[in-house]
Amino acid sequence: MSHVAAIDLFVDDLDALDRACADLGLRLVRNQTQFTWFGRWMNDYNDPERAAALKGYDPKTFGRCEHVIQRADHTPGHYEIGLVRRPDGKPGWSVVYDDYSTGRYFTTKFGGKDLPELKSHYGAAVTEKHLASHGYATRRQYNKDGQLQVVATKF
Amino acid sequence: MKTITVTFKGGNATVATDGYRGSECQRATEELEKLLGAKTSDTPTAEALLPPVQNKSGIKAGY
Repeated sequence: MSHVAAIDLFVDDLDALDRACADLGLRLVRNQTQFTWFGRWMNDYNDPERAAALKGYDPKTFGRCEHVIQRADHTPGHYEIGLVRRPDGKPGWSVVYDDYSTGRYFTTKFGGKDLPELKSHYGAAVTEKHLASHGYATRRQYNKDGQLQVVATKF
Repeated sequence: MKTITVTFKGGNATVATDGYRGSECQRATEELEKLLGAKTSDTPTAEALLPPVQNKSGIKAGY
């Protein structure tokens, strides 16, 4: 079975994504133009919120991408996450991956099929970069509820 | 001292500011909110309307 999902995360800062991947035990491989998935579209994924084929992504393009996210202990055959150009034409990349088989590694480790941990760490890296460029000193912490925070200060 | 605290949960971000007067906090965070996605709510506190030492506003952004 193949469940190629396009999650609700749009990336336009690869350096920030690189930082997020490093935080999470992942590796961003820039300019790798194929990502590992089941390999054949089975038209068996009907989740309208996630199924890439139902969100404007042409199944003929599955497996093709512009950059790849791998698990740090990736070995050949492990599914990967692809960064593909947004179908709406806006700048940046969508995050697409097959959440079946070894793709479950990502859903298990990063909070579910929408990879909320990846979203949070990417957001934190974007935030730090932006506020540091405006003269803020930044640091990370976790609040009492275990949520990631970026705290930025300036006088 | 001016502080911006961004809290991440479930892929959403909430932005809180402290130490800004009036609408300063919105100007300080406007660009950040655009980077993180559309603003989904804006709940300035009463202090945001005063020239205080402390202002807090909570803005939820989704991205």
